[in-house]
Amino acid sequence: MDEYSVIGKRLPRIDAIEKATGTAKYLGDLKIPGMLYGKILRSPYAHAKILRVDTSKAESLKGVRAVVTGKDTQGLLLCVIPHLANKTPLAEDRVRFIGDEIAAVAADSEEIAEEALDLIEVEYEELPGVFDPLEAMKPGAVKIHEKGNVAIHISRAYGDVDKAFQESDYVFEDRFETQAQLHCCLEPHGCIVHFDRLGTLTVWITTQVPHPYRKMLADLLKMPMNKVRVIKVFMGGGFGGRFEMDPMEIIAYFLSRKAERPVRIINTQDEQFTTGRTRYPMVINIKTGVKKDGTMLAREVKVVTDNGAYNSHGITITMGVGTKCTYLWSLPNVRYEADVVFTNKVYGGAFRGYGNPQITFAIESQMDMISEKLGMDVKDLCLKNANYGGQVTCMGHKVTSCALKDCIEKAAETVGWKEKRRTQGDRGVGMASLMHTGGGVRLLFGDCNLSDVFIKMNNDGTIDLASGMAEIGQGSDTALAQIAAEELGIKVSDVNVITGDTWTTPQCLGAWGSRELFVAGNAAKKAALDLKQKLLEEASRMLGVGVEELVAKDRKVSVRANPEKSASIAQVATACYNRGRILAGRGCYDDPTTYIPDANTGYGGVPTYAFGTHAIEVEVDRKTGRVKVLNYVAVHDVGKVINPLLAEGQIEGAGLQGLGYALSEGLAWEEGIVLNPNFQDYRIFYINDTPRIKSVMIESGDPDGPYGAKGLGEPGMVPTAAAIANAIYDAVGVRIKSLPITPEKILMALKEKG
Amino acid sequence: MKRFEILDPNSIEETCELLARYGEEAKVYAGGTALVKLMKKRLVHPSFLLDLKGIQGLHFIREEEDRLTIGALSTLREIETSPLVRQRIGVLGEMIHTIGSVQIRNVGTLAGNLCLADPASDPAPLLIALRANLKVAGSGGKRTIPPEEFFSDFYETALLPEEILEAIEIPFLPQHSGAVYLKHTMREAFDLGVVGVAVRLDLERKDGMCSDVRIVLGGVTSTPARLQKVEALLKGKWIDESLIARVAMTASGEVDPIQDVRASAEYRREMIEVFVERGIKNALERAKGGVS
Amino acid sequence: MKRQLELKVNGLGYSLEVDPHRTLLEVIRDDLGLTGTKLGCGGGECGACTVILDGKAVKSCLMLALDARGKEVWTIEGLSRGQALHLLQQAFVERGAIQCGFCTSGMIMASKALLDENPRPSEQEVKDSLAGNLCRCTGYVKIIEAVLSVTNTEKR
Repeated sequence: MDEYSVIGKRLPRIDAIEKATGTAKYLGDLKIPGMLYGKILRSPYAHAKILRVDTSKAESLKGVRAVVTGKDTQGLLLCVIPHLANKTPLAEDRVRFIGDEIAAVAADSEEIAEEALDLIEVEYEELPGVFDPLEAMKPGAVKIHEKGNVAIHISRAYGDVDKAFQESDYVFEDRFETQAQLHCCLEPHGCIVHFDRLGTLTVWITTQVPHPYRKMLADLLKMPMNKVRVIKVFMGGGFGGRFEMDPMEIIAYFLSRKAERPVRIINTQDEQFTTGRTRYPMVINIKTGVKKDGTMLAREVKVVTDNGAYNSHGITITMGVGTKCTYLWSLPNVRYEADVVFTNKVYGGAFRGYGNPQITFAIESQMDMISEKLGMDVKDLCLKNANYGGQVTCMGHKVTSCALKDCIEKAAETVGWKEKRRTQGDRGVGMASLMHTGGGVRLLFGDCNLSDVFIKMNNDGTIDLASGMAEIGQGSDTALAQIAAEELGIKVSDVNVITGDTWTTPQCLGAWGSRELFVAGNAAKKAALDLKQKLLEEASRMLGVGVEELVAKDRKVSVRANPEKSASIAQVATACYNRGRILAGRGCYDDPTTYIPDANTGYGGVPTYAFGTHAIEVEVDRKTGRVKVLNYVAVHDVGKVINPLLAEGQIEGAGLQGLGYALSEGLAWEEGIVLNPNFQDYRIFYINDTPRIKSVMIESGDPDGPYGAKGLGEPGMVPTAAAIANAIYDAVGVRIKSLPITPEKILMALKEKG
Repeated sequence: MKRFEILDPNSIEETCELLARYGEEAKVYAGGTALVKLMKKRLVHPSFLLDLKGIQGLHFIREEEDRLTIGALSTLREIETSPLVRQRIGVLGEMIHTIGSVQIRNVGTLAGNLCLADPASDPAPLLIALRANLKVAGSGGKRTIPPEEFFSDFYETALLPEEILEAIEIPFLPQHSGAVYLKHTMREAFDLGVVGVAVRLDLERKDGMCSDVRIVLGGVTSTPARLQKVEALLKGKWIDESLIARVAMTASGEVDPIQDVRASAEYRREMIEVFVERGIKNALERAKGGVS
Repeated sequence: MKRQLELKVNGLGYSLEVDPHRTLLEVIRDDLGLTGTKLGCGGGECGACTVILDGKAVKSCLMLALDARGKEVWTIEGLSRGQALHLLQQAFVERGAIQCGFCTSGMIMASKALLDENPRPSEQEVKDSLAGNLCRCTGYVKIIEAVLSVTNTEKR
């Protein structure tokens, strides 16, 4: 039974044609009149004092219009969490990782800018560096920051963990290690910044968070917000990598101020790989107590996060891991200790999953090990402890919609669990589940989780919809268009979605935490209903019936009981216009949870949780250690599918990114030097590495989501690494606890096993 | 990239003159994919690029009585898809298929790949195994260099400063001969090999003894490595599975594999054994089946 | 010293003067304003710069502009006529093969080159021709489906 016109339909994205024809303009495609080209001089040392910087030769090179150093940017500190900031846009007296920004040049061409960089003289006093967080924690280690190498120590406990361990029949202790994964957005990060003569600052940028970014800029530069304009253009990927201010934007600002012209800076491939944000590497020690019937009683998690050289999202992600280890299987007793530690390497940032892929790798690998010891099928162990709707976690967080049990069953059934598990040979299946936010979280940018949408209807019934949301490739623009079209009974092509420019759109916290569909979707629905009310009131007047008798569908407003009696939307809109009435709608939505971010936990409320289970079948070549993924089943509780085509795209894309995380990707360092700064050696997966990915979506119908929908941006890569590790164990009996699970690691483990 | 001039010599003689005149400041190129990449990374900065593409008589794939001759300007893709290559030396096309991507192969030349002398070059070990000949032309005249003498070190060849590689000759495989190129990569495609193994096996007759064999490794040492000790263990013997297995186990002892970000020396050693075994088995099957 | 570059792009003839060190990608984007072809990695590893040169797919970031002398180049802009999309573009749009869109023109041009040579490729042949084109968003699944759905191309 088809209750919706466009919701739930496989529809192409509304910007697909622009992208398919090459007309969509990305940052590097823009030409702003008078634009200069900026380049940044970066430290070749992992740790050094800066004794002297001489830019005189660079300044006198023909075609150079501005040069800036730490002297120009002094006093500014950058971090997405301002009170933790310890990174200056340009180094003042010290550099702390290879790639740390020291000076910058703006010139008439990239060629001249590069030449000018070669003319800047810097005198360094090299200092010893420390590259391993465990080493950096030791007393006597090289000090990276004044306050020491531990950025923060986190300590939380819920319930009575020690008692619970005592009551456990078995206690499992395992250590896991995860690596630095790079976003590898195809489009290099960049910005164009113009500080003009009227004192207006315009920033064209690939950002996931245009409105928060605008406020961050205004606060940092002490400018009134109405003089700051952030314009997000078409973006070539985000995945969390464009979720903060990068020093390059502030550097470009100072260059622009000096040169009195717009300045563009775009990363080279080398800069993308060596200075871009990464997923934070973690060492995770996890201790779990269970009863022999499989009841899980307690969990103690100890994490050491490699924070890199400066503060970014490392602290909030590590705090978040503390919250996330209370999620899956909802243990009543949890203790969490973590250290976020500086090292002389590039610093991390947000990355799809925000710490959850790391901790889930540990939790779900261990679940598999626990089930083996208990003599249970891990599927049954999971079903026994599964989260459920109405549950309250040990932190007091409420689970609303939850179809985890269905996900587990469906994943097992679809992959062929019974027939393929624990068989002879070199093939095996493994599973892993996830619990993640499905509608954002109160964590950053204030105590809210808001989105505001404004819609105006034109005389012909088409609409312009403005939202502060950020379309980063995930399809949120399309989802909003579908929601508005559904409510107003018009076509998706009647909806003009305006996003990205902070001067022409209302506020929204942006694309992160899998929040846009839930929060902005609800805001759009509210705005559409607001407009619809006015539309129906006008139609009621025109048709001489009560508002409650009317329905808007197929570009008409008609009487439900007598569809012949109708007026086209264009007629209604024109009638409104002629009477001087404005047909506009506004919907501001903040999620219904009330927790504000807690200073200790860092986490506020989450309006709803996404759940899912991945089951993967692999074949391992025992002689080479190579893993072939034969079958990848991803089952997700999405609440309601707004657009199956786009939802599948998220699951498939995240799945492959997860496979890369599990099997292949990772920055390799030696004394702070990145050894694999290109796609060739970083080993990201290409088309021949793609397995069949079967996505199954379960609709649990969230009570608060628009049409029951929940977020899906991140969940797709949360359980992958654990599912792979478990599948490999099932296939050839070796358990790898560090990522990526390379052929080399598998081969060595097989040899050790004998 | 630093600025440079492009010169268009019309003949090999002119090319050699220009090389003599400009020395280190000049580099020849055809497809240019590797060269442009190196120049962008500022690893090389020639002031003059000598474009060979205007020279007549270098762009061909020809069959002569007992061999295939390939001109320096033939692209990898042309060789890969050439019906002549498919019919007469199929293993050459198979090996080329593993190089880079179609876009790179459409532009890059076999000659260019050899002259770059990347330790992970795929053609290098195979051409040694196939007993190819590299035809070189220079101001001092022409000469022939066997490929095992062509690669002298990381990115260094035996070419003299005023010489260019003109053509590559690859003899056809006789009857009861089989050749294979196996490349072990960590991803399915578009990957540099952690180990490359080229094997050519000649049997004295179908199901006969091994009359000759060449086993060459690529990607494990600075230049391709011929496993002469392993070859000696197979020559003149009836080859069966157990001999192959025993012989493969000694293979890794013959070289000292490099350690780099792609793989450890230890893993390479293990893979040498695995792929030498697989390579000999494959080549034997082909020799028996008469497939080149 | 600048040199003469005569070439055809999307059916139109151009006569330009370019410095030898400029790549074909730079000339297409900066001199001709055809920004549909993208600069991703600049090192021939991502395929976002793929164009068709004399019928063959090439990575334009590694090609010197002057090496396109006298040749014919087709970019993504040349595929559609007004609002009429090429079948490949249509397939990518309809099958969800586009997310952020940055890899799209490279994927489509590489696929076009394949289909011009081989109108009915197998799945493996499609994968082989796209082996050097990176996509971080889609997981490639829908890209493969889109290309396979186009089994006959219009002759251009």
